[in-house]
Amino acid sequence: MRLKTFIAAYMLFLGILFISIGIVSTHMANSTTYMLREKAAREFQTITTSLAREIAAVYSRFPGGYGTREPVGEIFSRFLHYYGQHGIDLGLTQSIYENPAYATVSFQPVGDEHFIFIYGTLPNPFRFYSLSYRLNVTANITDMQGIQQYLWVTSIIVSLVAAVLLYVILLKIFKPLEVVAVAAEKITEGQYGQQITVTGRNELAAVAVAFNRMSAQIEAQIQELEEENERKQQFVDNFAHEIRTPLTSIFGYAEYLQKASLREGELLESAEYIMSEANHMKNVANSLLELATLRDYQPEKTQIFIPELFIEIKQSLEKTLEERGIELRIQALAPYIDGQPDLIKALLLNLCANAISSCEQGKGIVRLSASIEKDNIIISIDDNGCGIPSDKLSKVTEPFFRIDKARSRNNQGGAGLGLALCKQIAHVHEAKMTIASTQGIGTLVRLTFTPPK
Amino acid sequence: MPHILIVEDDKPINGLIKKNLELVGHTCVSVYDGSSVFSVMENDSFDLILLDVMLPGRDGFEIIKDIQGKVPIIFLTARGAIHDKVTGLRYGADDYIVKPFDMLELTARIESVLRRTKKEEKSFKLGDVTADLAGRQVFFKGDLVDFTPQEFALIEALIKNRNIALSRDKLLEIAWGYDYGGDTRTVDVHIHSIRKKLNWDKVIKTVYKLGYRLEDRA
Repeated sequence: MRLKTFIAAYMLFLGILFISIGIVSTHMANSTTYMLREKAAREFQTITTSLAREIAAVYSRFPGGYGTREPVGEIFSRFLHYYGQHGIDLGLTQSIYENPAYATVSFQPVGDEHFIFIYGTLPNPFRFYSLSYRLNVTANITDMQGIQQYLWVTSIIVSLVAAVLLYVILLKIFKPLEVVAVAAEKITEGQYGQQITVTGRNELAAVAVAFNRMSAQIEAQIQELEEENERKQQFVDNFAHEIRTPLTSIFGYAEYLQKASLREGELLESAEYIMSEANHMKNVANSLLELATLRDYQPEKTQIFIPELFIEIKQSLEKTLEERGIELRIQALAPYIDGQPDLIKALLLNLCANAISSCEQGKGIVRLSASIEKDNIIISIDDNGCGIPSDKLSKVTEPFFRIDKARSRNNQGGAGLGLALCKQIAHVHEAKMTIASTQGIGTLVRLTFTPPK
Repeated sequence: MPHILIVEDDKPINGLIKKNLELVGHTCVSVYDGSSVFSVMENDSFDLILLDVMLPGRDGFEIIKDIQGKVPIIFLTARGAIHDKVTGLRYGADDYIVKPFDMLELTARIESVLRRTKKEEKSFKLGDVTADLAGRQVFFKGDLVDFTPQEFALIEALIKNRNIALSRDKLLEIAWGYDYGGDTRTVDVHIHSIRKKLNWDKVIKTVYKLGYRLEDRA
């Protein structure tokens, strides 16, 4: 591209330069010869006129004849002498008949020298005399040729300088493109987010701006893909762990029953472990199925009376609350909510159970409340439990995510799908679930139900 | 008797491992989180640690760094990724067991690490029988009993996996190796001979449809 541009521009330049030099030098040659011809012709005119006048003067002084002396030869030899000093050769011929008036002008190179040659008759009544005139113009022609030569040499030098200049300019012009190419190459190699510095406001700068936008966009999208991929990978890893752990127990205890010499009570103990672990797997499977079903679920909404719902929830949790010594305060400042009753109840139960389990034994207070804010119905659950570390807050709704990376199932026994389900239930009800938490102080979950327009 | 520390947060699995190891005569201490490992180690000395990678408190990789090779370690984890195995072994773990595992795999791997660190069980005593496993000799009421190398290998396999039923095929494999030519009938013949020489008719039980089991539990 750069080489092509260079060749094209340079050819154009050379063409224009040499054509104009050619025109100038031809014109110069023409005008020089024209000028010389004109000068020579005028001089010829002067010579013939003055020669004719002097001959006429002699004839009028001696009307009877000139005797033996030839007056014309004398006069002419004077002329010859005089003009010879100015580099003009003259010659006079006499013919018997009177010639018609004429004059021919021609250039005649002789060896290295140039001459203007004029041959013509004298004016009346001496037309039987013809004058030949030869002017040496070598100096003029050489001068002109010198100038021409000078012109050509100069133009060659100029064109060489122009070549260098043109190359440098092109290099500068194409520099941004090269920068773009380098950046694009880096992006190809996987170093996304390359940015180019943009200067000026020309087309290349526009390219650079567009490139920067594209680069940023690519980086953002790649990052999004990577995150999505990571989430999926995390899900698969977690799922494998979630399945393998109970399987290890089930397989292990079954094998123990089969192969070990059992002591008293071991049969029952092993069978219990097998059953509880199988039960856990069943829970995981059910929750996953629910999660999958909820993905495209359109809930059949009915009006749910909130105070009643809250009381039902409190009743369901009665036993747990008593065991843990935790107080559940309910406050319904909004009458109704639209939703699928079972799902809404499951959602609130799950969130309350989470809140209860985060609280310290005997010290917890969990509040379940409903209110109206700007036409939206807000249901919030807050507790004074252990809270969620801020770096984990965004991930708690991911399937199988557990705050403790050891994902201990011992304390809470869940499948790690509770909040993922809650989020999905909120989603199918077009409600927004936000979680705010401070470690050591408590957690607040807000569900914002927007009424249908 | 090898003394083993089990660090595993999942209670059923921890209990299972403990039961299995106690069957074959090891003594065990169970720990359920990473942070109490060192306090337990201060008061007790172990021949081997079975260490889960993902633990509450401190994870297995952190713990192994602090143990600095003082005690042999076998990693025990559900994560089967190559990258985790490499990390574990690079930190100086002696072996790596991926869940789910079977009983015999567990005991075999533990046995192999213990043998490497010379902490394996060197003798076994049950009633009138004393077996010197290192010296490859068996005494009945103090008298040396003559055994062929095949018979001794079988006795050793039964003792090392005692209280666990072993199929004839498994016994053949453990005692004599994969490439041993004999068929499972050979096992029956040798078992018969061992029972007779040591009066072990009640000790080596025939397990219906499975194989044999050496029992030393009351």
